[in-house]
Amino acid sequence: MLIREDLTSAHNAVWDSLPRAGTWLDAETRIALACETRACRACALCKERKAALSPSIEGDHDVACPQLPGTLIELVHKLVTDPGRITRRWVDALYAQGLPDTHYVEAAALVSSVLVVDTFHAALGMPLRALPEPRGGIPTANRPRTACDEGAYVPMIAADALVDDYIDLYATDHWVPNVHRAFSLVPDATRLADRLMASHYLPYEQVPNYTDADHHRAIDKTQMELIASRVSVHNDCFY
Amino acid sequence: MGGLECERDVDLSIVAGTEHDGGVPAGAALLAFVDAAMTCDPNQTADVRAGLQAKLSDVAVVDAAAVAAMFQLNTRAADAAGIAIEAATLEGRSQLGDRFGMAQRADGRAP
Repeated sequence: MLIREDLTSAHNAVWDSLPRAGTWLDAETRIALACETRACRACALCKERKAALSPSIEGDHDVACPQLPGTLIELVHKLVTDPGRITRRWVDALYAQGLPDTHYVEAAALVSSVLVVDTFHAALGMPLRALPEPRGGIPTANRPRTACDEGAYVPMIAADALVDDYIDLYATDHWVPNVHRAFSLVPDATRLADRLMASHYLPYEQVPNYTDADHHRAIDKTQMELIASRVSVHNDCFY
Repeated sequence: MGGLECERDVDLSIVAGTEHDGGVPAGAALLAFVDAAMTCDPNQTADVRAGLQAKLSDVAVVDAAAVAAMFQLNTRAADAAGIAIEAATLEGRSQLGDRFGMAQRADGRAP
């Protein structure tokens, strides 16, 4: 089965970024997060919480990468296995335990990106990519100065607040959906999501108003939206 | 769902089932394909992928896999960040509810 070059290139970009220090997380932590992303589907506590009416069951996760701090382990497991029941209280609890919002966003974006690549490979029956070895480096620790609290769980950069080295983060000649801005506290995470989005679906700003005349995919809009809706059902996402 | 643009009637209820296509070409096969892909286990997708390939081209199967994969990120970005639903989206959903007559139903619930 022939895979489009832009898809492979986007997957390569994710995998190239994994073993390098990010904006806030070091290389070892990033690889451990990717490893835990794959392992947590077997976690007994996550299965028990997912099946429960209320997910607030106490217990210990089955952990593949114990070098990760507890806050990041909880983040990965929740985000992979029960993302629809993430609440402000849960996020605030992670913050209260010492996880900075910047690290939360970078980790959430990394986990989500790994899931994109893994889901694509699994769907087509291809072996999952091997995780690379950490390559070191020092996080840049560059917090965008115009990111602000808009009432979401994390600060975000507004469409009219692009400055400095993220002045081109969104296509501001179009309406910018909130999902495009979700990870903007870490601009590099947004850029990687952009690349995945443009190759796998459509650029974020094109989504609200596209027709079948606007793309060259081999499935039509009803098929793409059906697929997207079904994934949203699986993940209990109502956005 | 894009039914208007495609000039095709679509049964929205198929999002929660796999009984029929609901007006979407290969709809049931696409849903089964997505369900299998969500496992992230390459060993669990062969049968449904073959079923989809019997209905659509190889290129279409790749495109379907790509869309499913991408929404693993979009859904989590939305829920992890706790972003608000935009006013325009809320308005569209309200209009859809009006067309379904939700306000006329007891407690706004679907039958």
